[in-house]
Amino acid sequence: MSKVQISRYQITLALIWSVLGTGIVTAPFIINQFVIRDAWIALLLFTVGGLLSTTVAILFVRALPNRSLIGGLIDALGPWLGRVFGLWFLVWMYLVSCKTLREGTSFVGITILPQTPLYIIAFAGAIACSYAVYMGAEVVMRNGEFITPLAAIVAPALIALSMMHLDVHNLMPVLADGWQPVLRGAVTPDITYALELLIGLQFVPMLRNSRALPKDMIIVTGIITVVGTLLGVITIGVVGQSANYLSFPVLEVVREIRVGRNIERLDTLYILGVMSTILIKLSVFHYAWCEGMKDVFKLSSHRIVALSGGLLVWAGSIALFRSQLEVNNFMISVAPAYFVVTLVGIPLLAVLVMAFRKRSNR
Amino acid sequence: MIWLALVTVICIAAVDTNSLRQASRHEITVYAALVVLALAMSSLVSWHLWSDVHLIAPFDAMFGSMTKWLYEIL
Repeated sequence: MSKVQISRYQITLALIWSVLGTGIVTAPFIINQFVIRDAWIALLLFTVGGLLSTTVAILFVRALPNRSLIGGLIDALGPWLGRVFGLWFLVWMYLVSCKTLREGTSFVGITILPQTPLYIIAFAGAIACSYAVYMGAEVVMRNGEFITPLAAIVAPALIALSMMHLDVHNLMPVLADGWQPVLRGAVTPDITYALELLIGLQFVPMLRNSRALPKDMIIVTGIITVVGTLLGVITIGVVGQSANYLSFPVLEVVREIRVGRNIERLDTLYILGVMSTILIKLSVFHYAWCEGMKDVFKLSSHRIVALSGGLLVWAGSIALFRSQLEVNNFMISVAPAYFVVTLVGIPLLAVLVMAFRKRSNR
Repeated sequence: MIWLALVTVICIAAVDTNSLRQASRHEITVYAALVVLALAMSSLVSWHLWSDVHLIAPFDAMFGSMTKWLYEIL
């Protein structure tokens, strides 16, 4: 079997869609629970979280070159302790996959299939992603490549048309309530979502140029910051204070678009785009999970757990998160600390152990 | 949901037949464990037991207070 080679372009797109996939659906609602007028500032601060992720990636790639996140942990911490931390990471990846599928299911259920049982919608998503993962990393990455040209045409058009309804007064006065609500609103997008970029470390052995991963993460951070801030400005500029009561504020912005009597209901394009990007994110996380299972349980191929693991993600998406409210609660009240401990604490522990080993070998 | 899960288990076992024939014993154990967990979760939902079971409560207990502290210091 030939070694998978993922290009810099492919990993960059995969990381962008992995954050934006659900970020565009859930993050606006979560931010608006803390801050409305200045939500765009919270999104501008994504740079901080992105640079934190990049720093962790730089240290990890230097200490454990050409090793995946879980493979590196096993190398650094030994077969037993490394596998325990590897299992911890597997649980994290599984939870993110379940959360992603649940977010996608709720979105599709509310917007286009209100009469369809949620588990049927989730099943369709899980089967599609499991099949992509079963076929290998190349298929997962090519999904991202396929959707990008379509998004590059549709997204600027939707943004430009939405701006016709933008009222700048909805964004004024800036920072009238101070920094506290902005910083609290920034916790989920700028810590939780930004740290998800570190899933890229799980793909390091498959990258053509693994040392360039931190550079790619900086590019991804820049793109997401610009897109996120723009969306924040447009959403609040169009919807105003009512954003606080909307589950999907960006969708409402797109629904506002009407050009003459002929062009309307462009939300169909937005829903298609969101569904595609959520499935890309799910495929990326599920593939990373399967590769992690391969390392932790010494499996011969990731394919052994691709379909059975997909079934587990499907069941978990409904059983673990009983409603979208529980997903939001998880993202606001649990995920920030959980993600910091898992994605900053544990990789840095591995880096420290490797540094200590190198020093003692001298 | 449990019926859909059972049918899917049979289908994926059929798809994975070749892989499972060549798989070692511990690989089959991992495979079976994932399937059993999926069926258990599906049955929780199908038999309406999920409203009593909060499966992510341990994470809430471990990290809920830390996250609350994070919000407080901001």
